[in-house]
Amino acid sequence: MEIFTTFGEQYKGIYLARFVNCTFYNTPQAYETELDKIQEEFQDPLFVRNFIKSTASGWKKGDYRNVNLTSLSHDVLLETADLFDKLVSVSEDAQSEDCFEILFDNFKELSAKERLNDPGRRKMYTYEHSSLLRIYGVLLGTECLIITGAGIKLVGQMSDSDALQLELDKMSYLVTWLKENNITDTTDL
Amino acid sequence: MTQTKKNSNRIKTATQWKVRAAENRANRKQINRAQKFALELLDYLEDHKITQKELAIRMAVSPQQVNKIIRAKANLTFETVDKVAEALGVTITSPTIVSKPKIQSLMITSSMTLVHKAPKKEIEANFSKNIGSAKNSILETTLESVEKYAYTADQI
Repeated sequence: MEIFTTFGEQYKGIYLARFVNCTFYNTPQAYETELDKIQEEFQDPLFVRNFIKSTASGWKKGDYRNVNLTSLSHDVLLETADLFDKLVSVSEDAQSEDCFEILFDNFKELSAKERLNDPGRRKMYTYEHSSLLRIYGVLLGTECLIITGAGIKLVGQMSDSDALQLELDKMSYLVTWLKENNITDTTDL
Repeated sequence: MTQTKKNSNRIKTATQWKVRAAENRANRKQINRAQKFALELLDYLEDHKITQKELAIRMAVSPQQVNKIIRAKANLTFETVDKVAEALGVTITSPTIVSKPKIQSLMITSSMTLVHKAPKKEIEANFSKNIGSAKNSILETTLESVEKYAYTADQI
């Protein structure tokens, strides 16, 4: 497991994960962090379209089953663009780490069914309403959140989609890894 | 401050996403167009059972070039669009110039005029119509029958 800061001289706010030597998932070599992977894949029309079509997305089981494939794909591409444009502007406006608190506050607890006994796992919507894209992360201490991945949520519960179940497992893996390595806040990293 | 130093010694700072995100934001319109075109092209190829490889042969370009188009990574020139159109035997509409409509705000002199824009309905008195109730005879009272319903204070 590797953890990256989003800017230099950082000890709170948003951090980024890279899965290495994990038994069930590793961040592909081409990507520096999970955020890179999201940025590349979710802005690729071929990837997004194929992903929604695949059984892993749960498209045909959820509320969006009657929504046109191209329309859904287009919405995901636009939402990803909006997300990264926002992240860049947040990053550019950063005079100190304070601005990352805005982003930090946007991460909410998972819903009760998905949370299980772990309140440390968090999600963030791109938009306040009708957001298809979710960013997932894990709380470290009280002032740090480590982004573990993202998903296109077309189903009621995360466990209804194989891809979102993987995101839950990635979050759990990081929680366990942090515990095993006695990492309780960013000073332990 | 000691916390910061401890971190910076052990953790790397992510840089790749920021560079790419800044580039993408600068080319956002172009990327959006390329993504939209790619989705339409993917739909067409699927509907007509044409593989990317076959499209590349028809366009006389490499499969990598086609892959770039459908992943919205190619710079879409008129030449590329014409090649796609010719290879598929379709027409791809050329960009057209449409002037932005000018918004002309009308001065509203009196908002009350707008509220009462609907013509007033004329109400005519109709005394011939029987508006009594068939269920309650007391409501049918006339001057002749009113005596029947006269009660003294004690009775009430």
